[in-house]
Amino acid sequence: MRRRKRMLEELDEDIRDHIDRETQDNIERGMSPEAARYAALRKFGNVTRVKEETREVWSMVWLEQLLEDVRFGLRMLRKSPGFTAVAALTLALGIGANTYIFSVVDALVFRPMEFADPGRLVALWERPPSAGVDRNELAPANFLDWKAQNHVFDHIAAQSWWDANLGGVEHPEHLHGFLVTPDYFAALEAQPMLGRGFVPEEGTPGKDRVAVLSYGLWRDHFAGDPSIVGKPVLLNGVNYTVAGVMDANFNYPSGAQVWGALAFTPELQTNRGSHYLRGVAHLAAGVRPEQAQAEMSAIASRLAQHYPQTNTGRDVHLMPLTESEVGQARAPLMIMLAAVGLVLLIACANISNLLLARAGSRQRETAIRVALGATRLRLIRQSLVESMLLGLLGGALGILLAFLFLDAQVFRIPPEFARMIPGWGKIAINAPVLLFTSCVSLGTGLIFGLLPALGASRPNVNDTLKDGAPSAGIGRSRGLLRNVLIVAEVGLSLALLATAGLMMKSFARLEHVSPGFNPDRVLTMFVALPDAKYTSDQQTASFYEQLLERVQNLPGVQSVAAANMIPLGGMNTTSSIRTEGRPEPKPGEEPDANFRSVSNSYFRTMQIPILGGREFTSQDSAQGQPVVAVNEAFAARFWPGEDPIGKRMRFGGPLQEQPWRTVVAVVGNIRNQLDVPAPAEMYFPLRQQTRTTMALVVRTAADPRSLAESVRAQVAALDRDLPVFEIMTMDDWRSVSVIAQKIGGTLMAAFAGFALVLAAMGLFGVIAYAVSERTHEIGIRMALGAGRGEVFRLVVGQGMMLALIGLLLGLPLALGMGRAVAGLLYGVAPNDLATFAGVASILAGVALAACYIPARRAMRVDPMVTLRYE
Amino acid sequence: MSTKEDRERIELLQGTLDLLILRTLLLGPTHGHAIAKAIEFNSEDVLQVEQGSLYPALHRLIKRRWISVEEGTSENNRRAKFYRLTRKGRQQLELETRKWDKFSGAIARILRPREQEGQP
Repeated sequence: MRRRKRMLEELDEDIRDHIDRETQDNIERGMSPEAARYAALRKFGNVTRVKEETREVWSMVWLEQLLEDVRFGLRMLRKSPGFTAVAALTLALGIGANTYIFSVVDALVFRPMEFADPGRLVALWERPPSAGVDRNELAPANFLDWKAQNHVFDHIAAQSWWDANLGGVEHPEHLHGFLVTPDYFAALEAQPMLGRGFVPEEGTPGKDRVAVLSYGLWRDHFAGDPSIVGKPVLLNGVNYTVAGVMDANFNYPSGAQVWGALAFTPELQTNRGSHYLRGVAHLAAGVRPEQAQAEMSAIASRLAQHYPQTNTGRDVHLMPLTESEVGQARAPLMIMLAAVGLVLLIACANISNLLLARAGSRQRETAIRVALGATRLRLIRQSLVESMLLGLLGGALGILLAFLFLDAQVFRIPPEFARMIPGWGKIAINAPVLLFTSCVSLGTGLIFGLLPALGASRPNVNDTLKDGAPSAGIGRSRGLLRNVLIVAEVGLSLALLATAGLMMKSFARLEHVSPGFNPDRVLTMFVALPDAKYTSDQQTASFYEQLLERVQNLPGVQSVAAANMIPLGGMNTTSSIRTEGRPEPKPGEEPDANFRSVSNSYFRTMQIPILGGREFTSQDSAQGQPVVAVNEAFAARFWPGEDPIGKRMRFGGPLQEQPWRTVVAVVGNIRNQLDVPAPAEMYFPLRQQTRTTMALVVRTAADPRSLAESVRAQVAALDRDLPVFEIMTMDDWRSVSVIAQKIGGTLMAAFAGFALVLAAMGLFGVIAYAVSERTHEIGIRMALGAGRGEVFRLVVGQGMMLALIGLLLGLPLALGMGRAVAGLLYGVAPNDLATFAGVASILAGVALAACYIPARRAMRVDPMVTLRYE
Repeated sequence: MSTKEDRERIELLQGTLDLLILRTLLLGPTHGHAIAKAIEFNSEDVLQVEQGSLYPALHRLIKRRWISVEEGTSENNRRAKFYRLTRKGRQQLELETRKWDKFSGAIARILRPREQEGQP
């Protein structure tokens, strides 16, 4: 570019110099100076034109040719609107689906959390000795020891869940809050937008009444008050001072609305049995994650020596923070991206096929261009420009479709849950997504255009121009190419269909799993009682008993109960246990079981069968005999072959002084996750194990949602500052619990369906074309006595042979895809014979249908007409 | 100028000028005016070069890196731009010369018999 500028600047001088020399020569030949100059100018020619032509030399020829190709390409696309429409729509669907999936993957997997330096952030977990669990929350004393003893982190912070009821407003609201240690924001390298984070002394009990607000909370509830810092805010009935406000980009943990200071009471500072903290740390400069892991493991084994009863076999599990947050979503989303990519490949194969068919009819045009001196490269380029234009057209339509897909919310997840998914709020068709789509559009143009372009670039000029008939040799090689493409399409479709089949079957299995209770017409909602107001278990239990009584009396309520956890709610609490008459287990080998606190009416309301013993009653109070109900799995694990009623167990580890409890009931197993068999589980009466946060479960006579408001009103009647939250039906919980499988299966089925249609269209196109090319041959065959049935078999046989080869070649790919999704499957083997046989027959059936129409046409060939025409 | 003179002079075929420039520069680097003169002189004034058309051609050759350009002083001590054949240009000249020989030979073979037929 610079060369160009310099050369042109010096041109004027050069020309002047040239004319001066010519003038001088003329003068030397004896002309007068005026005549000499005039002659020189005449001889030179038009100076302006010379300059213009020279400038043109330096202009970007390739760009001009490109523009020319673009104009020509656009003209060609306009000239065959049918082809253009089919190809562009096919591409639009393919690219639109890719754009949509990519926008989700980009937000959830590639950039779920915006941290200044994500590479230095690690999540810290405990790795308990029990097999299969590699992420356990931290016990506070362990966390404090890690913090004091490590030299590998700049900051190490902890967070715990915090139910924060926002009061002092018209409608009390439950906030999704977190209690965090004071250096939490520093560890994440996050600066508050207003005010400050927490200071160390705020991490001590009594000084911890400070809060940091999220941007959304500040904007919506405090009208974006710029002088909010230092003002009081009523949380859980207590005044907190606003320390700061985070900016809109800070969203960690995902969905957090408010952060409070986490202070450990002296009692908690020595607690190694309650695992409820999540750790996050910032690696010190120059420390590699492996080094940090090694040091933390060393600390863990020291702790295990000091505290064998609680820490034997407990390691520290370090993982990149993003991995810890989104690791589980990655595999299924990447599978979706791969699948939708395959769909686009099939679409490419289809369009390649259309182009190859068209190349036949455009042979004359190409031959003329070659005869007029177009080089091969120029022909290829022209052809590629045309297909890339088509790609861009498809891409532009695809982006519109992607917007529609986003609007249609194919991934329909209740907002309460969606906001907790890291990156969820950022799913959008934004600049990176558009860049991706542009690349994909051009790339697809290149992919589907390349084979036809190469094929079209070497026409047999002589033959084509001589009689205008397509030459046989070229037709044959192009035909082979088209067959190869069809085989590939069928193969890829089989892989997608098989994957979709496996996932749909898995989902159907999951849908039919009985959760062990009756989820119909059950309304659920949570209430979190603030410690400051409900200071005793007595007070808490009384509140819930009053509430249950009030709700029970509402019209339309059949039965109501309370429980601290609801099945299919995605949450569990586990505790180690002891059963009477067994030796004390070795440290690290203690058995554990899930536990729930439930009101007396829980089993009745949920319709969980009581298999032996009795319901909890009002006798099971704080003063009464300690009792427990266990599920079948618990009974089978700890008292196999015995009657568990009357047996005794103790809850908690060796350090916790818990009373022996008598088993008064054995109840049916319920599933907390549909795809996981019920673990050993125990239930305690609410009065004996009181919890402040409880779910109400209300079995209703009619639509459960219609009762939500009247139940809420009963809560407000007891305590007008108390919000209810997560108002859902049990059916909602059930569908949320399998939403990933549902979305995966549905999307995969949509992709596979699209692939199937494309493959059918492709096969139809190829066979129809083959029939039209072979009309003459078919005519001769019929003239020589071939029956219609034979002709039909000939044509269908050709198509089915292609489909069969495609099926055979696609089988290994399908098996590979099956293995890739094996982790997502429930109750279906990744090589499930029925699924594979089923999708293969579907594909074969569709292929047969696609061949049928051209075969019918072939049968109707009239030998007399064909031969006469020749 | 007389009509006869005009008819005997030949308009240059496009691309041929490039070849002539390369051929001229084979003798050594020189400036634009001298190139024009040399072409006219060597073709005994048969080839009519509109001198200005030399410049687009020179720039085309520079762009293809077949010739390079440098500052220099001409015979009468004037500053001027000197064009010099590059190694790439030399190879191109050889190639083009061979092609030209083939082409002109073929044209000549085609034209000669017809000329004989046409003569009285």
